[in-house]
Amino acid sequence: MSPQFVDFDGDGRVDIVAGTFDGSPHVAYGTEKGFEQPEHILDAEGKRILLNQFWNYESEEWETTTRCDAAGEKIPTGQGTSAVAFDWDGDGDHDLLLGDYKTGRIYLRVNEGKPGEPKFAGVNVALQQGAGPLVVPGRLETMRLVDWDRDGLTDLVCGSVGEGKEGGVYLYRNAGKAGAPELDSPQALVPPSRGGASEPTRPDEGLYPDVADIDGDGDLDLLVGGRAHWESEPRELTEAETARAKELRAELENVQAEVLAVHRAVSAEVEGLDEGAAREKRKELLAARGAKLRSLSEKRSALQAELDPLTFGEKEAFFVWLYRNEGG
Amino acid sequence: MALPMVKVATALACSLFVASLANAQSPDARASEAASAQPAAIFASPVRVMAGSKPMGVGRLYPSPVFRDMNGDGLADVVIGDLFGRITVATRIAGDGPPAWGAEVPLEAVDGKELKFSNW
Repeated sequence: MSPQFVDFDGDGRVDIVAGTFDGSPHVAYGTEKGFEQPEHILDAEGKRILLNQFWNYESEEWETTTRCDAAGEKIPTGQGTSAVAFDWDGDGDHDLLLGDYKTGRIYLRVNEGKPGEPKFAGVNVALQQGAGPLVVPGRLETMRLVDWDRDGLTDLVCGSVGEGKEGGVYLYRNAGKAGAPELDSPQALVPPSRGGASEPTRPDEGLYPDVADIDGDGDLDLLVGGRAHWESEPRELTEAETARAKELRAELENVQAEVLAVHRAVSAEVEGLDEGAAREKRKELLAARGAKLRSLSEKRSALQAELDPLTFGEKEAFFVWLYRNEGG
Repeated sequence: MALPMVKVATALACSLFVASLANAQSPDARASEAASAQPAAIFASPVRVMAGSKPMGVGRLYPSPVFRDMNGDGLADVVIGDLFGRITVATRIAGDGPPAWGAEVPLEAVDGKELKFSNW
């Protein structure tokens, strides 16, 4: 889930737009007092905006549909997990770009309404690049909109999933004109990872970029979230380190047991209810225990972080990285 | 402590670059200007960003950062989403040194609960 801050409804207040893994775009409207809880962005007929695969909250199952596919086009099954609002056609309102993490394609959902009164079309239109559909190398995590080359036109920066260790960040310059973007071939801002590191040196997989002049030197830097993979060199632990590693493992087991106990208690409470009632009750009970579960999760992370330097071999972890632009 | 959303009036430096959609120049003229306006990007080796005493995004799945001035002090805070639809804010610490951010705190919605994007 990659948040975009944008005045989506044109009321002068900033909202948050984001696609999530459920396959649809959401918006959290900004109000005088803060953000509302997010809701789905719907099309002109009040239907959920989707690509193909989506999570059905009523049946609680993954489902697929072709109802939003352009007529006559053979489209690979996609899942829209990222979304940004942008006036693609220059008519004064926000259209939506929907990112497909499965294939790396990006789809345009045209807004046929006006600011404050959106009417999104029911069909996805694949963005083109060159002679065919735009396909982000390594599949797509998220998109960012920025005028990278300062020509007055919005360019597109995309982070890729990578196939294990091949995630990168790509710039698609807009070589078109206002209201009719044309995207150039991708330029790698962060080249695909080749892996093989002995410590976390960069994001290798699942790259989520943002762009800003963070050091104030007049050029654009990158902030990139992602998973690092590395293989740490083994070394002999001291006696104290060995003892501490043993303690940490025991504490981790205790935390895991506490998590399991919470889930077992919830399961016991819903036992005997019919399927629908059990589902609702389970949600309610887990929500009531949310703070405890989050606290256990944070404790587990802290223990794991301390244990990691005392263990060796293949490792992975998520971080956020700053790429400072020294290009002048 | 959850961070209440503050209406943002101060634009970030990056927002200066967000597109103005009006441009009457020819593509060739723009390309020529662009070449002189934006030198090629050369990025230094990436550095892991800290949020307070912890690495930013650590312990979360697929952290997605975005710069945003959340408290109107003119500095770029970092807002971080993740796979589960949670949002946290790491506030930029003022100072002359390299950019630094405080610990991540959940973003609170107007209902007093954590802002949470539905997922699956």
